[in-house]
Amino acid sequence: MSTDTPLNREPNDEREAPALVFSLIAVIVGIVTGLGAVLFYYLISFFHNLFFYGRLSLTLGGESLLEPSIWGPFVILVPVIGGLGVVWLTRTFAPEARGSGVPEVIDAVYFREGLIRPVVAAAKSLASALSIGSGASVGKEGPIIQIGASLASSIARLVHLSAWQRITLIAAGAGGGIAATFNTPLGGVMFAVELMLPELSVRTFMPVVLSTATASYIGRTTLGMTPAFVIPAPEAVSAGTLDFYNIAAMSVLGVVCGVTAWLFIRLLSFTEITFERLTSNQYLRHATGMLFVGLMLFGFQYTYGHYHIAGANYATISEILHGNLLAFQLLVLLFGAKLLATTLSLGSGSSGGIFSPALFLGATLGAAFGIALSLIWPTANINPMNYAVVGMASVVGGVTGAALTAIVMVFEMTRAYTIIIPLIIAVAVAIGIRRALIDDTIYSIKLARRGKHFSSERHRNLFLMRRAEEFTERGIATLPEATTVSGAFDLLGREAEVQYLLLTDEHDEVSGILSFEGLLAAEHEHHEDWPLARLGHRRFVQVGAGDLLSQVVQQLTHQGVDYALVYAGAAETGLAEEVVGVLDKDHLADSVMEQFRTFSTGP
Amino acid sequence: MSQTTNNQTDGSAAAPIPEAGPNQPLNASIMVILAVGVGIFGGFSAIAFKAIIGFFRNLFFYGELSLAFHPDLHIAPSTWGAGVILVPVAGAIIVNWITERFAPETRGHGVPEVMNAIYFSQGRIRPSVVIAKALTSAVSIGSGGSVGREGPIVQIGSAFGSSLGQLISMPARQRVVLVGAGAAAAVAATFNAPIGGLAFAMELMLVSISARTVTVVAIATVTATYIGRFYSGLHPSFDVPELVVFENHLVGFYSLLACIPLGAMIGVISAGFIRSIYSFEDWFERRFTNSYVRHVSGMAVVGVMLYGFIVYTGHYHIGGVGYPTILDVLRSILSDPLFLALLFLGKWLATALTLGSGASGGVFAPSLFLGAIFGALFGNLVLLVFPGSGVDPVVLAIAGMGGMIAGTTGAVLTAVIMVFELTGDYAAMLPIIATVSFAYAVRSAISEESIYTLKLVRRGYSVPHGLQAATSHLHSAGTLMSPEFDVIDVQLLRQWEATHTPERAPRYAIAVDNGTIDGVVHENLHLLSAPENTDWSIDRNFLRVTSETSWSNLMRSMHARNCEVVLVMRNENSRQATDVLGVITPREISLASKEDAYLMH
Repeated sequence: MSTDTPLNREPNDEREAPALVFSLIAVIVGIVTGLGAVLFYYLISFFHNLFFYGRLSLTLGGESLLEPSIWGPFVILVPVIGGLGVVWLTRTFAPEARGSGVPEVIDAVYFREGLIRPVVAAAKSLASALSIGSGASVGKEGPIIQIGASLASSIARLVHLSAWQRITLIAAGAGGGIAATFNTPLGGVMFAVELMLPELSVRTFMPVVLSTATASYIGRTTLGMTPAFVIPAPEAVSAGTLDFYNIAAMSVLGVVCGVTAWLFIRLLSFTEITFERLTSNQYLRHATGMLFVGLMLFGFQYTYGHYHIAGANYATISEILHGNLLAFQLLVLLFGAKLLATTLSLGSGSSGGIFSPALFLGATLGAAFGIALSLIWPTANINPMNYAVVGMASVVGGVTGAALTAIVMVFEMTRAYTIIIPLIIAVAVAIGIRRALIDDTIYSIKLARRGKHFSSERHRNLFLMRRAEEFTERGIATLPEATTVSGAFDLLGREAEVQYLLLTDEHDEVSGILSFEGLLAAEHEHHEDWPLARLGHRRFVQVGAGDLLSQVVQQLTHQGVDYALVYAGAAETGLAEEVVGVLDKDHLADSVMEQFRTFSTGP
Repeated sequence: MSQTTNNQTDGSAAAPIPEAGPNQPLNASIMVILAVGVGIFGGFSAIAFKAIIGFFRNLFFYGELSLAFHPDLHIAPSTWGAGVILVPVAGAIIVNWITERFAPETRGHGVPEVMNAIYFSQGRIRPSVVIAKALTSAVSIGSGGSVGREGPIVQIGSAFGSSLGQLISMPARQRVVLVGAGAAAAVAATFNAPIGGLAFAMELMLVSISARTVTVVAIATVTATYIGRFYSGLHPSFDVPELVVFENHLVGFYSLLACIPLGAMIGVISAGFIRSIYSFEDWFERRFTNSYVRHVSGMAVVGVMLYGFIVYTGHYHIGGVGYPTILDVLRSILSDPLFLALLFLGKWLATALTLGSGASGGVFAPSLFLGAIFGALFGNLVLLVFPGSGVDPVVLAIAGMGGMIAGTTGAVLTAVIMVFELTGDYAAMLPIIATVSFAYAVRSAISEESIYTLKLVRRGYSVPHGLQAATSHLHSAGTLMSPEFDVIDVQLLRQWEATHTPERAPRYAIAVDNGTIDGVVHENLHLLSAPENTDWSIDRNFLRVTSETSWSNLMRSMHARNCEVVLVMRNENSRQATDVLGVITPREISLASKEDAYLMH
């Protein structure tokens, strides 16, 4: 930080691709991640069939509840065996493939210039498919994000793209993966925009959209066009504008979901730390966690006939949204069990996402809330399925902190547009409550534990939009460069208003800049007879008074210099008489601080 | 350094941001209550605005006193016959009188004024703008001007948010959120598009997007939409029943492919549209010095066009918001390419004339109109050339609307979401996304500024185009600080000054007195001071923080204490020099922000 040298982060072989080529690469990323998502889907099916039914098959009952395993009570050991495989894979090939994967991608975007190892894509696909297929209570969106990001980063490195293009492609890959998996093109874009892209502008937006649209087109042609959850006749479920009481009740549900989000984040963090303390042997650690999950799976199957809390598909959510699973006690039990199973799976070292567990928690909680309400208040027109949809969005929003992603994605998954108003309110309330309880999201808390802080806040860099003239130091004097230090004092005096001296050569062109302090320093060191030419900074850039600070900063950074000469007109002639002042790096701080004073909302 | 910086701040008279007051930030729950208030106002003002437009329309076209206004139905021919030519003229005189007399900022399409208030005057808008804008725009639209409702309603909603924010004492950063919330609420209620309103505020209005600001805006938009729905019902603005058949069917590959050239062409059209509005404005201003003559002459041409359309086509088409014509296109009632081309050119000209000569009204509705017509035109032409391609002109018309909005306003997410919410047609999502992105990219390549920002640029203000991650949050005091410094005893200060060379590391020296920190030596100050008085060069106004202190807390504390030197301490309350970890001055801050600007280098 203390060096003044230019940022030497750019290895020589990296270059910026022209916009058209870059767009084409983004389409390729979309195709690759779209295919990756399809492949990942089949990989999960493969492991699931192998582990639960001992058969080689790629079909996965999308929306129907899982049949009982052929192993009977030995299903308890299925997650354990799967878990051992996961630990071996992650330890051997890619430790970063453990967990949800989103924090690792954010880490790469914000702190590692978008570098993700290609091996992560393969390791993550296998490890997560194994985790999900063997019954761990984790989701497939975290993995697909990391897989998409890793593929994108690898493609970017293959063609030697510059850092910002690499980061943009990572967001494009992540958005494409999620869009193809869930058939949610807009949700994929939103995810990339809200959680991945450090900059939202035309140069970053275009590639993300291209990749997301391509990937979801591929997903639609191969995995089908239907929404992730088909709600029977959504207009019948939520006919008309919901009345005021329902909206008020759903806002209360938002509060409950906010608290749930807090609980989920805290509990996951707690189990991770506890398991780490428990034993340093990763195999033992994960096997212990998965043994509990296995017991819970068997318990549910034994008591209720279905596994419910396993991660492989969305059957339970689908049952709730169809109104087939509306027993209050079971819903509450499922909520508690899922929370426990997910935190045990991920806390002990599983590989998989938190997004679909969050959907599950929200659906059970929302439905239970709706049923409880209709019991207390039988005359009200309450439909628990609406509450389930609202709960899904609210828990996802609360846990991830990405409001628009939660709203748009749950809408795209269920196509229930009619309840959009209470949905938005509940998500906003849930996020507000969660923030009041804990600052971190489920993603940022993991990075915070590594001492890396990031914020998904986006802002306009207004400080770079000011004109150079506003921050220009106008106290300048022009002297020939041959003048001596003592000669300069004779001409200027000591109490001068002058902050900078412009040194001119024989053509009256500026050859150097010397600060008044520099002049005093020279005298201080007894160099009274030196010519000013020997003291002045010879490297500077030339800018116009009307130039934006962003342009000035760009020039200063690229050339690695500290001073800019500010000219009155557009013409940067080099002639001293047309210079109106000097802008030095310290002046930038004034602009930065001014923006903070006025606009920052802070963390 | 201290002198440089002080001179600097005082001397920057051109800086448009005045001094921030000592206002305490409001509690988050109070902000939510205010957001509900802004939302309620937004919802009712959208309803009232429609009624006022209806009032003026009925008065101007039929001489009736009535509030009825059906934006989706073609209006009946005026009772004045050819006298309809004078209707826009009469409107022009009234509009001009109000703008000249009361509120010049109500001229034009409104959104740039709101942006101006947010970015450059701490979110302050005069409350009287609410009334003046509502009246002028209602007259402009009601008398047949080719402008839309969204610009005015944005200005009305945000003026209310701003008034609330000025009435109750709060810092500027909260006031601008209320301004954005007011704009979003009004848009959401007008178009029955809650997410679209939210996206609108995020993309165009808010300076800082975080969970805190988005929550406030979201509460305002849903409140407004809820109220708006009592009045307008649950249906999308452009109800397109025929499109239900597309539900859950893949849009044809060729339809999707056609969106690429469509998007590119719409990008070119938006660039042309933006330019034409402002060149008409310039031309009118050069040509006519009297503002009445200027506006009247423009609107007289619009009046002639209106009369021409009613005589030859049976409908006014190009006047007002133009929704009935858009609906005709979406219902495949209008499909003749020649007629579509005529409508396209007519609407373009009418809008440029109306806005260029000084009317008050938005560009959103005209953009929707032009996009829908051009999309349908393109789709029908493709069908003529490749009859077997299965390209659907209606899907392209919907995609075209999105493309045109994104092209002219630069708000891409808003365009996608809003057009979906307007039509309720999810099947067209991929075509919309594709068209929007190409239109936006091509328009940005041709001309950098959107129709909103160009107005500010012409006044000499620049608005940043993108949103950047607040990378400053990546910094804490510990990562900002310069760890190189000297520790010297006050007694030995003279000696240090004699040997130290300014501008060479370590740049900072901490003066200690018996191990306790006395102050930080300004390396340059001593050169200016008398040699015997070392006291002068010690800056005792310093702040002590720990290395975990966040960037924003650091900035705020530095500002509150008005100090320029921060010592990063092992323990905040310590005054021991041994606990100092590093030093932060404006130099470190500017170095860090310079890097931040280029995370995406």
